[in-house]
Amino acid sequence: MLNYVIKRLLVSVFVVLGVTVVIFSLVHLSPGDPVRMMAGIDASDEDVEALRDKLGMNDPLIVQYFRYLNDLVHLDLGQSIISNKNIADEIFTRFRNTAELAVMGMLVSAVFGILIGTIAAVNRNRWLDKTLMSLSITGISVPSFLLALLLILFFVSKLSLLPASGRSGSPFTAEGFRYIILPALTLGISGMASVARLTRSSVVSVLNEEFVMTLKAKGLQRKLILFKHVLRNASLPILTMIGIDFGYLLGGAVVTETIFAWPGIGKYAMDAINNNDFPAVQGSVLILSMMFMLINLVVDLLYGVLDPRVSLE
Amino acid sequence: MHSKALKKIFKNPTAVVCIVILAVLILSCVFSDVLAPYGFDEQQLHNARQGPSAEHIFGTDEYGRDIFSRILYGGKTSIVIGFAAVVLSVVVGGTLGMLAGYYKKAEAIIMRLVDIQVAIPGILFAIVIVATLGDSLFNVVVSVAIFSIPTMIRVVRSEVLSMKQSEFVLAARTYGLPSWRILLIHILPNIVHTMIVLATMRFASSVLTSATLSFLGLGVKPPMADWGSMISNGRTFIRSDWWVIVFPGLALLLLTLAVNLLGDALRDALDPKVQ
Repeated sequence: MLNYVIKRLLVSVFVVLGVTVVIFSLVHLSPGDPVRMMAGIDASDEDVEALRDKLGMNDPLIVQYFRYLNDLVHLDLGQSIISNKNIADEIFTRFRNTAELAVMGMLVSAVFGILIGTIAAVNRNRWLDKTLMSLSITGISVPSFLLALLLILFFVSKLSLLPASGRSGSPFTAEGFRYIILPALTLGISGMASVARLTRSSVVSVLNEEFVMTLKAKGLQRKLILFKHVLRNASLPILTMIGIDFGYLLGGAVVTETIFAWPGIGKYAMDAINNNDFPAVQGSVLILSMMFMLINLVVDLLYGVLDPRVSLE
Repeated sequence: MHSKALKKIFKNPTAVVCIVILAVLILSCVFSDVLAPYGFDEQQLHNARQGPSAEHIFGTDEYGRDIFSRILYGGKTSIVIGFAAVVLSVVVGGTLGMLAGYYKKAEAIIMRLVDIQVAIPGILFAIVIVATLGDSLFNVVVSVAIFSIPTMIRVVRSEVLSMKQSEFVLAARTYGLPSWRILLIHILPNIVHTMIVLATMRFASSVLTSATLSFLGLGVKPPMADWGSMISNGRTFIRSDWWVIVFPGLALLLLTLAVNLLGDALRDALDPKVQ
C-alpha cells in the first residue's frame, strides 16, 4: 500500500509540473501583448519596453518559466494586470465559494445519481427503468447553460421562488441556501445522469453474479442484499465516475458561476479571460486544475483502500 | 460495419427515429441557404421581439431577425465545427492510441501527456486555448477536438492492448509481418466499430462544447448565427421573450439527444456481448 501511495504521489508531482508547462506556454504563445495593456493606452514604446525589462519579460522563456515556478513554490501567483491586486489573495477569498458550489453539485450528482441508478437497476427492463434512463440521457444531452436559463425561466421568472443570481452568505443558512440551489442543480444534473447510468449498469452486473443468488437462497432480506452486498461491490466504477465528474464540475463551474454571478474562481477566471488579464488567467486555471488533481488523487487512494487488488499492481 | 449490426440498428425503433431526426436536422441546416425564409442577418426592426406567428414561426429577436432562419444557419456552423472536431480527434487520438497500445516506449510518453491534459478541467482548457490563441474557426475546432482526444487515445489504446494478445496478431508477428502492417491491416479493422461509437458520442459533446464557447462569447462571432450565441443574446430578454432562448435551445437539445441515443444503439448493435 505504501508503495502504491508513493508511486501515485510521484505521478501527481509530474502531472502538476506538466500542467504548469502547458499553462505557461499557452499564455506565452498568446498573440496578445499583456505588457502594453499594463502600461496603458497612451504609453510610449520606450515605456512599454522599460516595463517589459522590469518584469523580466525579455529574459529567455526558460528563465521566465523557472522564475514562474519559483514564485509558485512561494505561493505567489503574481499581480492582476487590471486591478493590480495579488492574485493568490483574490483566488483564496473565492476558493470557499467555488468549493461550496462544487461540493453541493457533487452531492446532487452522487446522491440522486446513485439513487436513480439503483432504482432503475432493481426494476430493470420495466417502464420505471426505461423512464429513468430516458430522463438520464436527456440530462446528459442538455447543455448546462441552457439548463441554467431554463431553471431561471421557471423558478425565477414564472414562480418567483428563488433568486436569479449572486451569493448571500453561507449556504448553511436558510437565505444562503436559496441562492445555491439553482447553480448547484445546474452543475449537478449532467453528472447525476452519468452516475445514474453507470450505477444502473454496474448494479445490474453485480445482481447477475452467483453470490447474490446464494444470498437470496439463504433467505437474506432483499434490502440487506442490495445495500450491504450489491452496492458495495458496484461502488468502484461509480466512485471513479464521481471523481472524473468532479473535473467536469470544476470546468462547468466557469459557465455556471458566470451565469449565476456566483463569486467563485470560475467566474474570476472568466472575467480574467474577458479582460485579457493573463496572470489572473494563468493563476485561476492552475488552481482549478490543482483542485481537480487533488480530488483525483483522493479518489485513487480510496480506490486502493477499497480494492486491495489495485495497490498490488 | 457488419450487415448484421446494420440490420439490428434498423430494427431498433429508437435508433431509426434518431436517424430520421438527425437526417432532417443536418440536411435542413446544410441547405439553410435554400430553406431559410429570411437571411441570417436580415433585420426588420419594426418586427423586433415578436412572439411566434405565421410569418415568423419561432418569433424574432431584438433586431427583428427571424429565429427559425437563424437556427438553420446557426446549425450549419455548429454541425461543421462538431464534425471537423470529431474527425480531427479520431485521426489524432486514433493514431496516438494505436501507437500507445502497440509500442511500450510510445505508451510511456503518450499516456503521461494524456495525464497532463486531463488534469486541466474539461471545458476550461478549451476556453483558455480560444482565449489565448484567438478565436479563429481553426482554433475553435482544435480546442473542441482537444476535449475529445484523451478519451479517444485511452479507448483505442486499451482495445489495441487486448488485440495484441489475440492469437491472430501473434500469428502475424511470428510470420514476420512488419508492425505497421499488423496495426493497420489486422488490428485497425477490428477496433473501427469502437471508434465509430465513440466518435458518434463525441460529436454530441463537440457540438455542446462549441455552443458553450460561443455562449461565453468565444468562438463564432456575431452577426454570424450560432445556437450558443443566440441563447446567450436572449438572456437579457428571458423574462418576456422566452422564444428567443427556447427554440435554439430545443434545436441543440434535439441534436445532442438524437446523437447520444444513436450512439447507445450503435454500441448495443456492435457489442458482441449483447448479440
